[in-house]
Amino acid sequence: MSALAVEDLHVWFDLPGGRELHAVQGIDLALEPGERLGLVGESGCGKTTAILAMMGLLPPSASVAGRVLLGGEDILAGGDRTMRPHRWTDIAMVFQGAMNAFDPVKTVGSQITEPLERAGIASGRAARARTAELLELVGISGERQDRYPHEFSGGMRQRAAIAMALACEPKVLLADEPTTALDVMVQAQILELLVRLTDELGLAMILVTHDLPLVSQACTRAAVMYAGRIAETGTTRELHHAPLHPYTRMLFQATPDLRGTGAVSSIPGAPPRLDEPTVGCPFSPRCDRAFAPCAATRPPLRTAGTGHLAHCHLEGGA
Amino acid sequence: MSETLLEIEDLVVRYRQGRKGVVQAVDGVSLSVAAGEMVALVGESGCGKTTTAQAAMRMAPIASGRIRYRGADITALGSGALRPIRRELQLIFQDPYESLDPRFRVRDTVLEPLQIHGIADDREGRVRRALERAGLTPPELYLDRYPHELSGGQRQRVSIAAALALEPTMLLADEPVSMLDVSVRAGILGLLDGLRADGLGVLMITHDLSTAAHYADRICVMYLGRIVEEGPAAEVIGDPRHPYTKALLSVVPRPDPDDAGAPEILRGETPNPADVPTGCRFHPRCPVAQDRCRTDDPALAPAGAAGHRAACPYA
Repeated sequence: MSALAVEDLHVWFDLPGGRELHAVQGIDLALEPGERLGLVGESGCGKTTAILAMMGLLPPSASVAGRVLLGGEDILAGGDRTMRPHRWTDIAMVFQGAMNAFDPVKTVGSQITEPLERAGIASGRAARARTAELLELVGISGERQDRYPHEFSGGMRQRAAIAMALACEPKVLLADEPTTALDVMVQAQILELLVRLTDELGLAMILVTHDLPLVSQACTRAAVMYAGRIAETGTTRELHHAPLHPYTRMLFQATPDLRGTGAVSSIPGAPPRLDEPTVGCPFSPRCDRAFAPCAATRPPLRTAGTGHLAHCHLEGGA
Repeated sequence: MSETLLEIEDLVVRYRQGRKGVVQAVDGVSLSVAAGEMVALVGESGCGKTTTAQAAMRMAPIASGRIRYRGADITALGSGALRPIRRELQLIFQDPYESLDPRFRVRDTVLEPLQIHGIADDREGRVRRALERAGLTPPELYLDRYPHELSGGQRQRVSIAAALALEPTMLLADEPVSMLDVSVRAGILGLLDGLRADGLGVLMITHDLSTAAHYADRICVMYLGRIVEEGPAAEVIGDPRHPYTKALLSVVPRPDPDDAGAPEILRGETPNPADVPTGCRFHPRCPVAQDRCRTDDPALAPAGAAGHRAACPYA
């Protein structure tokens, strides 16, 4: 059974004047235990909104529909009532910028111990011991739990934020841009840590990022989001070597490769507004292979082998 | 041989920290940028790359060393004498969301440097030409818009247009695309590359080695206030000589999942310029350090092909 399955997930935000913004427009995802899935796309494509919906952490102005299955149980069905028992204990999240979200006047350790005590997992000396254990797990000496956030480097604070998310031994970890704003060497250290944690703990992870090379190196599969939908999903090898959707190919073409000699080209235009309904393929105004049906009708689902899917009018690849 | 525009020679920049601490942000950096050349200054945060560029603009306190612009020493020029130099040497900032005044229309943003420098003739024409050169065509489409009406890429083009309004000979670009979406980065970098091809000199500060590899003519790798390796971009990327450059290159994520390489992940933290190790400043993290590295402070020396230098006796 999948560790996490998301089916037809939708998110709408209420806008002033009775309008709605359809931020997530029906996405499907499934993760096996220990699997790492990359969720990639440009800013505003709905990737962060989607994982916040899986955690039940969207503001009241949002409405959510669809199913979020954890070990077969739909935790979205009963709203907060069904979500709360699982949040942090079965599914946890590392927020974007988490390393800068520590309270500067409390020790790092106390900020991990507190939620442990509040959740009734451990208290007193046992909670301190568990905090030390969690810090060790992410490569920080347990003795440093009495230090303050400013005594930690950015990379250490990011490790501590990951430790905090792992406090209740979740089975699924959602990591939102966990290496953005970190130096390349520290980024490599954090990625190595996330890979080790998923391998050792059997943790399923969704890595949310705008950085395709990061996903290529850290994940086995990826979903490319565009305008609230998944444009293409498959193994990272399939996406790189044989993309079905031009958006996937154009994202790779926009990414300079260290030893690559090919031209790097930007994607013209900008993503569509999500507060008005789109007709046809939302990517068609920017697509270099758009033809007559693209602007008029919703693209059909294309498949190339198990698990490699794309919504595109093109037949035979991008 | 193209004219050398900017020359930085043995630059040292120190900052006071706390009551008695001194941070040696830049410690003996020399580099030059010629007309029609793009030089990338790469390194981790705190390595001194931004301070080096600021000192070149005379925006950081220079403890020692020389800055020359088109052969003229500008190290000690007063603010009046610096003005015409500043007109030729323009800075492009990292964050187009912060560097543009939200109350200014595009026209006013591009006009402002002309007003500051007291250029009165043909202002409208200058503004239009700058917008066109920055790829905002036709200019009429953009002149009356506010920053919030523009995408991130368009905003960065407006700030580049504001720099171009003064018809500079050289641009210093500090992480010009790191705040932008991947989909538009190539457009901005292509624009800078086109300006370079038109004969401008470009000093680009970046932490992204893939970008440097793709666009720069030469690359200087900085570590803790020093340039530890420099040379033609293809040489530094294809045949790195300094162990630090080798490690940095090895951890750059590659777009091809089959091309994982062999990441050599250095332990420890991004080094602190307030606490520079003795000898070779890289030795505590260096995978090939020997005893002498604790005491000997290596200078840049020829390594590999012509123009390629590294500060390591084992290069």
